[in-house]
Amino acid sequence: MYSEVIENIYTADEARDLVEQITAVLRHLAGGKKQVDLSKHFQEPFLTPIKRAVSDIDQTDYLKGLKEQVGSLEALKITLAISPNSDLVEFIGNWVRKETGQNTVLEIDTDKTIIGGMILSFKGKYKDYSLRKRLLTQ
Amino acid sequence: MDSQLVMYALIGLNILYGLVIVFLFASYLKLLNKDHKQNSEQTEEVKKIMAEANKKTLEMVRKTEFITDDAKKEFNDSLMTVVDEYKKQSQKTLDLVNKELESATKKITKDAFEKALGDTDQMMKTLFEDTRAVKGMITKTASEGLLKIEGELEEYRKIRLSSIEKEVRGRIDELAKALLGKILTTEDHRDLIKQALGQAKEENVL
Repeated sequence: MYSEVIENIYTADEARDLVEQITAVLRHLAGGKKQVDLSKHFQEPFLTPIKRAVSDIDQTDYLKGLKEQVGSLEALKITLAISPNSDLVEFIGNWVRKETGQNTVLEIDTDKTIIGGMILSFKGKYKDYSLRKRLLTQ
Repeated sequence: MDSQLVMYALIGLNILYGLVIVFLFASYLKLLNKDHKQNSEQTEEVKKIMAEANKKTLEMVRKTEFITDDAKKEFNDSLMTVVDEYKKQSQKTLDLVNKELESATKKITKDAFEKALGDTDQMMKTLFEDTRAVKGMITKTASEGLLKIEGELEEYRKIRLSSIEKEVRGRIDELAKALLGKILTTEDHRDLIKQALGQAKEENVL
């Protein structure tokens, strides 16, 4: 029910923005409105899956559940040597989901001095897979 | 008022009594004149009587003065009573006026006080609004100045960072070229990232 939305979230920033938008809609619904025009609050790629999901269930119930799911996504912190474009972000996100089966969001930092590769930090584990490290240890 | 009526009634009776005496005396004289020729001896007697009558008449007239001493006293007493009453009434009126004046003064004082309070309140409001307006103006001016400075600093920071980044990038590329024999492309970075992810999976970091 929520996967269609969550699979389009790649970064921690996107997750935070979506939670804020959901909170705003829930505030409107709590104010007495039964239905809210979702297109005024959500944009693609989230709007279509959300509209489809709430077509046969209560908006409030669905959005509360979605907010909880998005809020509980685990953050994978990575440091790259370059500022990644959206293609590279999606590549990393999709690779992690496919290869590990974990729903994560990326917190991306940039440090040119690592030359290439990446530094990872996830669930309390830290590992330096940078080119700088490899060159220095050779 | 009753005493005055009595006084006037007595005066009226005295006048009437005098007139009656004069009338009787005149009638007597008339009668004597008729017998004058016949009774010359009676002339002297008549003169005496006339003198006596005149004397009595004068006495009567004196007694019938318009205001006698008693009347004067009574009149004065009445006058004093009236004056006293007038004084009492005047005092009452004066007291009433004073009371009204005092009340009016108090009211004026109270009104003036309330007006003064109102004026003070208005002055405080005006002062507060003026202060707020000036403060707002100063804040706005200061904020605008600060924003301008911040904007200029941000612009300078961007230019400097861009310059430093370019310099660092250049040195790193030189280093990478020296170490790897080439400058890394976007595809090279992508491959290095993919290798890192695979290694992390193998080492159960992910």
